[in-house]
Amino acid sequence: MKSIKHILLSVLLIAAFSSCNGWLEVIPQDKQTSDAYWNSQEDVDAVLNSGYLYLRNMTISYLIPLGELRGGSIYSITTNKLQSFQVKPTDESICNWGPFYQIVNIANVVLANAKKAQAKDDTYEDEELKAHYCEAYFLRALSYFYLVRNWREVPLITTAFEDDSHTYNVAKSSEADIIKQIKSDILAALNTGAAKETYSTTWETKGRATKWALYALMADVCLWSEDYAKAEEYCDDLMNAHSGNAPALMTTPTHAKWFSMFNPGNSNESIFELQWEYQENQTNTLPVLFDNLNTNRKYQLSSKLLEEFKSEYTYTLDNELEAVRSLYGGFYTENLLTWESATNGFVWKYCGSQTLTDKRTATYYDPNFIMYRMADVFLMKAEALVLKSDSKADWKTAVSLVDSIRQRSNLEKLGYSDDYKEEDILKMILYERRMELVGEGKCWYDLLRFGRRSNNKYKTMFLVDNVTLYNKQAGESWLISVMSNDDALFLPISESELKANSLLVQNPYYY
Amino acid sequence: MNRKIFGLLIFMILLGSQVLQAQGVRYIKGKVYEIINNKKEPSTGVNVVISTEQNRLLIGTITNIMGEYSLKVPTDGAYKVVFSFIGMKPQTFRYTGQTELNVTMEEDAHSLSDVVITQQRQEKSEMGITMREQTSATQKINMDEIVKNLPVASVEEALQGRMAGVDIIASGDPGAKSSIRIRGTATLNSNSDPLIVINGVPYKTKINDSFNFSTANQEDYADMLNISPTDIETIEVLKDAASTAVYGTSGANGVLLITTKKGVKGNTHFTISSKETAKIEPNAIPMLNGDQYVAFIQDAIWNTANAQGIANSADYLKKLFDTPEINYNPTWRYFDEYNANTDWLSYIKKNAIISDNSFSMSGGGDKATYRFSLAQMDEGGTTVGTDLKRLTTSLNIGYSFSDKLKVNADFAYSDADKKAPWTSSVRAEALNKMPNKSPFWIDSQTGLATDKYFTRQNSQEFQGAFDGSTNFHPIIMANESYSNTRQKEENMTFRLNYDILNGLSYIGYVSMKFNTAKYRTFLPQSATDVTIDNSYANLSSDGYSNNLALQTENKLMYRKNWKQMHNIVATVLWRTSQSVSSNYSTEIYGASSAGMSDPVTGGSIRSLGSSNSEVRTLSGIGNFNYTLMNRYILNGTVNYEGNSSLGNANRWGLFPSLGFAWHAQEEDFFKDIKWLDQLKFRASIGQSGQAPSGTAPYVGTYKSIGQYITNEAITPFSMQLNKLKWESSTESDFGVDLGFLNNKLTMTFDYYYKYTNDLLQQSVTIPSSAGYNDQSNKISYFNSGALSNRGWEYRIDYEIFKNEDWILSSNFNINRNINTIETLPENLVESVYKFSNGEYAQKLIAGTPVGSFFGYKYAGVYQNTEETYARDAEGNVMVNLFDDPIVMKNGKYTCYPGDAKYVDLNNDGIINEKDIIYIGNSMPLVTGGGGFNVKYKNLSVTTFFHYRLGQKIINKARMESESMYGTDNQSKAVLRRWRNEGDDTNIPRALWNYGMNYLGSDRFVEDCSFLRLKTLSVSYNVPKSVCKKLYTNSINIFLTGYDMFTWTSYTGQDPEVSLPTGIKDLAFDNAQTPRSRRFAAGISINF
Repeated sequence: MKSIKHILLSVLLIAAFSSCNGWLEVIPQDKQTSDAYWNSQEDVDAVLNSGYLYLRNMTISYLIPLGELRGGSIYSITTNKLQSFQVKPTDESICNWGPFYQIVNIANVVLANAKKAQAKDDTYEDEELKAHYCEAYFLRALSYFYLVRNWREVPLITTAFEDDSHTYNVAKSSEADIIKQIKSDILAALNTGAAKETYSTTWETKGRATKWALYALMADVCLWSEDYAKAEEYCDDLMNAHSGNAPALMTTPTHAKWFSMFNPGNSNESIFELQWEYQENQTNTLPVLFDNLNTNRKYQLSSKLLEEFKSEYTYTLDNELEAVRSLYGGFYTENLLTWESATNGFVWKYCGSQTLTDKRTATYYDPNFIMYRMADVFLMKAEALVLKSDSKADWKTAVSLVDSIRQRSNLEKLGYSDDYKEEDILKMILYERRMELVGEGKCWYDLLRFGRRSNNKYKTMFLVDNVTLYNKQAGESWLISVMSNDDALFLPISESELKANSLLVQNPYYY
Repeated sequence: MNRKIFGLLIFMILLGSQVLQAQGVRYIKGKVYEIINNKKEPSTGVNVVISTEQNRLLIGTITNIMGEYSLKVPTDGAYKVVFSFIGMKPQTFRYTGQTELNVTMEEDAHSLSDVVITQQRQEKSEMGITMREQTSATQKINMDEIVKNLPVASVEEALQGRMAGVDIIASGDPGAKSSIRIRGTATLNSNSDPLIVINGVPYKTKINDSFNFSTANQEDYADMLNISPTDIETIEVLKDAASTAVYGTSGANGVLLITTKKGVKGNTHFTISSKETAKIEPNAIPMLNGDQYVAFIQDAIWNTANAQGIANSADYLKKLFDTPEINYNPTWRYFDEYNANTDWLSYIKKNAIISDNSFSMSGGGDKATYRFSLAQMDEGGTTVGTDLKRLTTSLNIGYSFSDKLKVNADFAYSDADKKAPWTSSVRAEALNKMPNKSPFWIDSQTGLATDKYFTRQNSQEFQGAFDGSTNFHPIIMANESYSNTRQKEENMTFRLNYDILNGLSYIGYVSMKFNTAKYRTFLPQSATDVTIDNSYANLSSDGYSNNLALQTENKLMYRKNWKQMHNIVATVLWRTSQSVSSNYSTEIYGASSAGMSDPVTGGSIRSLGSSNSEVRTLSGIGNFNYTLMNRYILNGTVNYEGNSSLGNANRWGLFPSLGFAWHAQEEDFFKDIKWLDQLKFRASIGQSGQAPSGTAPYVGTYKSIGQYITNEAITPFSMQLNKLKWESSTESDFGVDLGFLNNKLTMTFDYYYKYTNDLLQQSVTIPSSAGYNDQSNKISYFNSGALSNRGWEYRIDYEIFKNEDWILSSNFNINRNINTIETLPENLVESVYKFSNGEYAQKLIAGTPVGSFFGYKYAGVYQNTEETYARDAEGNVMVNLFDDPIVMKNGKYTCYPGDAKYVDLNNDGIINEKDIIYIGNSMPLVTGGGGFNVKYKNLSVTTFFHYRLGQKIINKARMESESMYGTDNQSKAVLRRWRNEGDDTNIPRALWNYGMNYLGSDRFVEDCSFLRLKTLSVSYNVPKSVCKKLYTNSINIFLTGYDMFTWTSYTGQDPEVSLPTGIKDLAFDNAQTPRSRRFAAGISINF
């Protein structure tokens, strides 16, 4: 009798033991746990969307200031250490590269998990999976391209940080290795053959990665890495595309056509632009930052650039042509009538509404931020052609490409001359980029690219001289002395990042 | 799972009652008598029961008025007939088939006397091991002696300084949290508090980390031990890993075992006790009066204007001449209100009373015992607006079904209501307030203060507008704002003991604890003078939290002794615990009145929050204790524990421990030494662990972050932490227990070494390149680094003299703990030193003790220009290119006579980070306590001292009251400030928001060693003869003085400063409410 009881008791105890590990599996009720996440095509899509969302959220804090302020075309009216070349490792808001890596991680997570979702979702076609990979590769390549242009050497991370199986501390990789990774990502995307030409909605076609965006990015990267033949090739892929979905340069020389790129946006010329939509309560402060009357305004045209815009406007007036990218196109002044004597100029792209001189009203504060458009590609090709060879035919084509951009703005054709030297054409291209792409976060990278190429061949001519000419926010001798150090052209690694990652070494110049 | 265990318990109960089997029926009857006045009279109401051999009651009745009874007796089986009555000796007869049984009851001599029958059995631990068989470091104290005579509100207070190796720092405010550390802090970020075990059941006090009441400070919800000290029988402390092992990993920081009083067999006893205690606050630091303050401010502004030079002084001169608050301007509207002389502190401090009343009732018979208690305490605070009221009640019932089966049920309820002002900085504000300002409007006719508060506190006011923490009206804040916590707790435990076989027994319990806390705060607009649309205007919050802890334990224990040679005790147990909590809070502003903090009543919502959490643990523990020849003892424990806070891979931890003890006095070669009673050597080594807290913090999560136009965007939000594991510690302990002169003199010495590695670090920063920028690059936990604690403890108890009338005894304990960082955690981010006034540097260096301060060496005041010249290492004045002497600089400020002089260690003429050196450590060298007791007949005197020696602290309160930097009022010490060359002072000149005159230097680092007469108590037991006349058993009257004298050289208000919980934090004295002197009078009656 007693022993039966004991057996019974032990059986009960064993039963209790066996189920205990399961009992200890307590899952937080108010959160989506990661091991239960990747179930469907929609799940993959949602993570990719947060990559774009993160990128979009960086426009005002990173993309514009990093791309513009050191170049001097526009300047911040409040003190900014970027434009005075005084960034220190303690300036966390400037040199924290975390937001870029956030996008890198999004891409890594998608590349690591999309297959898992496909296994669970019967409707998730292979083509769709590959298309998602393309977007992930694009986001990763784009982020690294920003990182390499700003910090030069950064940790190269291609594994997903979903759990703690990877070491957090990663050392920096060389610029060449990162460029190599960027190129291989873009090629990997293109090689899937699944990169989309178009999405079901217009905003997605322009607001998400397409085959066209991959081409444009690759051209840009190739120019940076001085691989001009390839750069030309990828520009051609865009310019000579036969697809009806391919973006095309806007050629009509009217203000209305030209400005439709910025309002309402998502034009035929656009390749990739970050999207906002007031109807979805998604607005931004771009119109505020460039609004001459707003107390929170931040950016103004440098006086040199204002003079250049004025002279373009004068040219159209003198020749009785429609002003396209000049007054109320590329720029505006505080008063329409006194533009000639105006000393303050502003970028009109983000403030302007669809009428000629009216500003967007607060409800419609949703201008997109264009990262690539065809004019940029035309000028990239011109740049590639000039540098690719000494072939005069190529140089001639290069000038004609610049002229095609000028033509639609009703500006004087530059015309080709056999007397042109390489730097003469490059100067034209750089001028055209500065005027056409003002405020689009390109200026500094252009100067840096022009200045650094061929072992700093044109450093003084294109980088130092231009910065000192346009940037009046710091003393000339200071600017010259800082820029004389090649290392000072890149940002420091933030103090907190150095502390958190024991393998990092501060970038030279900031030791 | 729990259901299974519960089922198991029910099964066990059924097991006990299954002995009832098919039996036939017989009858027995008879008559019961008692002897009254030598005559045999029928006895009414006598219990007559039939019981089994194991004393399990089967059937019973009571005798009628004629003393007759009649009972049914089951056939087959052996039975007993038991007669019992209160005050009579119980009588038992073996049932041999009698049909009639007459009995005469006899009076029980014992039950009339008040002698409590002492327990026959030796006390055993939860694991069935006696004190003698233990191999580890433990100490036990009996609370009765302490509590009877002393006015203590909490258990922590009662224990302070009494146990070697237990460091307790209590707070001066009612109901505030005390910190308890057993053998130092051995963990970086997780919980360092010891485990409290009440009657064998772990008492979960930890407030979950998901606790997020918007404004609450975790300490507000204090780990209040809601037990009345008078209900506690004994407290035992388990210190080393080998002894805490049986409580699993939650005992890693040490265990306090609390045993509450139980009912005792015998007549019902009532005890009533009442204590009234007066709290008298010590004198405050004298502050400047109105005129002195104005003079000081003018001096400061003028000095700064001078230091700035003519070109830059315009603003300062304007401030000096155009500020009506510090000038004579009778036409100004508020002239009267700013020409007062106010001692702000006097309005918000008071002497207070603690009243403590308790009632208990206990008793029982052969089968059942019970104890009921009810206690009520009301502790007034010495800061106006603070108060703690607590009601506790408990009921304990024990019932023996038979000698084999016993059940026990405990029920406890407590209701604590703690009141405090909205902010804890009321005192600091009162000290900082300008004394020339009046708290009340002044009647312009009479020049007297009216009863209307003068609340002007806007941005134009001299001291500025309310900023969320400072610049408010301290009197209104103390009187009308509140931050109240009402905590109710119910605790139920059901316990079952069953002797299965000879020596083998089963013990199991199920325990449930419900805890609900309601939290309400209100900040009246009148206290801050903010505009009604400000988010601090009538700010109020309302929060609620609710926690259920469910614990079960099933234990099998086997005890066996062979021929007095071998003795074994083996135990296996299985323990589960589950803790579920939820909370919510709302905070609104702009409410129209104090009672309108509910969000539906209007006002604007400032924040809302809610959360849920759940933690489960399981552990299987085996313990084996073997004693050979009553002298060699070997003890081994294995704990296999799983915790839901860790991921599958590292969820289970195995923690073994081993101990050895040797009773040397039993050896033949010591037998002859008559004066040696005990010589016990102990050695033990054991491992333990700590799991992270919170609901599965290892789980990786995804979270929606909004939409990209119309597309949902979801992002990885937290990383899955599969590598997260137990923080593990290994502790070894060597001890000796000595007893001499018939154990009149006993000593205990212990040396320990505890090494903790894989330290759990909370909220660790990872590189942002991992891609979690939006989450501030934090992961919840990370294992890294190692820490050690080593030290020794010594305790001596000596009964110096004892005869019939006199008893003289004393005790003393001392302990030393050294806390060392062995390996710096990988990602430990030190707080960055900022070169600015009042800042101290922090350096954590592997191999050094924690708690070190780094700062500048203070060298007094520059008396003249000559002294301000920078000197090189040889003492020669340094000169510049033009041969002019270089003047010292404190940072960027050029030094002038009257400025603070710091030692320029690197002789570069500038005081900066490079001149920082080590200036002290906040860890005490030794701590402990001691006292002596004298007893003469019915009168006894008890004293108790508490000390902490060799501890440095940053006297921040003094720093702030001597800094002379801003608008804050300063202490009278600044009247000695430097004004002219030759002033013999070490206090620099006054400056206005300028200069570096109070850099973190050794000027404010003080030795806060102290020896304090904690208690002095006189108690008198009213003689028996008098008690008898008053129909009582005993009456005790006592008078106690508490914290009466303190010997210290510390200049702050109270040297007993609470230490920071994190080892990364520096120890500051922020001038909390000082501990008051207390005088208590009380009476305790037993009948």
